[in-house]
Amino acid sequence: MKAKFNQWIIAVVENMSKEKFLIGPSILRIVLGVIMLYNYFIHYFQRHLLFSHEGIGLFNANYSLYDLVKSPLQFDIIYHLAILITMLFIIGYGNRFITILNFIFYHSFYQRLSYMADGGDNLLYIVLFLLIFVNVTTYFSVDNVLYKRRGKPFKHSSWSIIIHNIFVVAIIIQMCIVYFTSACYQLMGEVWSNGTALYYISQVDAFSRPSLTYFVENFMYLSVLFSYLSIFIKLAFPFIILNKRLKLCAVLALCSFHFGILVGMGLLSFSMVMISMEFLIFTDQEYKKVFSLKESLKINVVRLIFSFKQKFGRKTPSQ
Amino acid sequence: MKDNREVKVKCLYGKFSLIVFLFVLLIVHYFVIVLDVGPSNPISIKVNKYTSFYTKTIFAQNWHLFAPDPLIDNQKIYVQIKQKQSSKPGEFEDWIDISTPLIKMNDKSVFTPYNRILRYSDGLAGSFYSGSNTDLVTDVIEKTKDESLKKNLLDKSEESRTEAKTAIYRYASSYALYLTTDPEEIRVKLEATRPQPFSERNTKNYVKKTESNTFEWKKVDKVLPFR
Repeated sequence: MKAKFNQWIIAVVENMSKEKFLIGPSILRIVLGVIMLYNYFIHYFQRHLLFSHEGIGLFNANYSLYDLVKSPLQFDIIYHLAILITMLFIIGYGNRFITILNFIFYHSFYQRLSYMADGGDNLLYIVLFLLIFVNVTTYFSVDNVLYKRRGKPFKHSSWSIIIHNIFVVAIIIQMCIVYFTSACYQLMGEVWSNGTALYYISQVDAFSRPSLTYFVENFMYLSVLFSYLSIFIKLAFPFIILNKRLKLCAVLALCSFHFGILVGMGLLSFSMVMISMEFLIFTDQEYKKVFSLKESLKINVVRLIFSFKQKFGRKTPSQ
Repeated sequence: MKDNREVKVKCLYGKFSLIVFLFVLLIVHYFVIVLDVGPSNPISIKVNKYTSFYTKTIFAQNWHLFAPDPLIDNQKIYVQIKQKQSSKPGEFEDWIDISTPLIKMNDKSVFTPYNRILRYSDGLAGSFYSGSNTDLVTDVIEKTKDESLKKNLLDKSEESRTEAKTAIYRYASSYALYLTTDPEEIRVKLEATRPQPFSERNTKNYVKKTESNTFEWKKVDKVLPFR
């Protein structure tokens, strides 16, 4: 009995110490970093107006670095430091230290968004906190390059891998909660239940772009279908991703849904954050499969072009 | 040799304990999160005091995302300005629509800062009308027999409305300073236009219902001008 239990413990520990999700978090690091950088730069010339005490906002102290600011110069120093740290986060330098700093600075910025914040910003800062415990610089990072130059392999300890794996699972559960609860709320709403939600949203100027109005006016019944589909895919997401074959369909469906929100409602950062989270769903093995498929496709294309040239290409005089 | 094996076994148990600890933490954490963000039920109402305490800092979240009822009213903010020494008397005496220019800018491109700013004014108006009332708070106010709790929640909601009104004035002051260099006093009007009902979508010349709320004249706040 004890021997069986010990064997089970060994199996659990070995399984949890395997590096399975390293490529996804590295891609997520880059994409989230670019979104954060976009948020800093798109409001760059309005930063004092929107985020400083001299501006339009009323800010209650809520653990923001900007609360410590006493002059526009100090505000600018923090704002520019935040941009610099985000850049370091994107290139993957400084590993966990920069990830922690990035969280502190973006959390401070998020507190200043107040009424301007959306669900994407909310998910972004929660995920940034969880990413502190995840190894995000294993791939596509300066850290990785520096290790290779020193001739050392970029390896993580098994303790670190266990923590990493569990926190990747935590982020995926957080995503499932986002989709599942929002779908539950949709089911409770009258306009979602009768399929007219998109029609009503298209009438709100602040949340609809001309493309959504055009779509709803010209494809009314399709818009009703899309209202129902959005509920269905969100409810199904936590279950579909458990299936290796079907999860790609769920990811594609949700990416299309969020792309629709981007084009129709203009919620750029919200859509991009939601889409980028999908990178975590896939394992390293699946990414490597895609990379090798891409490589073999490249080789086949080159072969095809070469054989095409040999068959139909102009013959040189010597030939 | 024996020592080495002992260290390995200890390490193995250590790792297993870490896995168990983190999974228990994960389960408890997400149980609290689900109770806090999910639709209200007798359990979530009962433990709301504790769950909201846990989630109010790092894990604060709200996944309503246009549900159960999406925003369907068009909120607009209007401002009227009294100038100190007007070069053109009566220039800003009529109501000036400060929402439509932003809507037009937002429609031009997806890559625009005005998208969020538009949401800011919309959020302010929404917050003025609803206070801090989420579904759960509204439920508790309606159903509770505890008068002190009810009063406390209603006071908090009123506080939120007052805060939203102050923020609306700051926003309008900033816009007034953008329009003219010497505004003295401003007055704000919120206008909510109801949508054309789905059943009336083919009715031409349908007149949408509008409700407005006009605030009092107030000195212009010291804020940066809008840009």
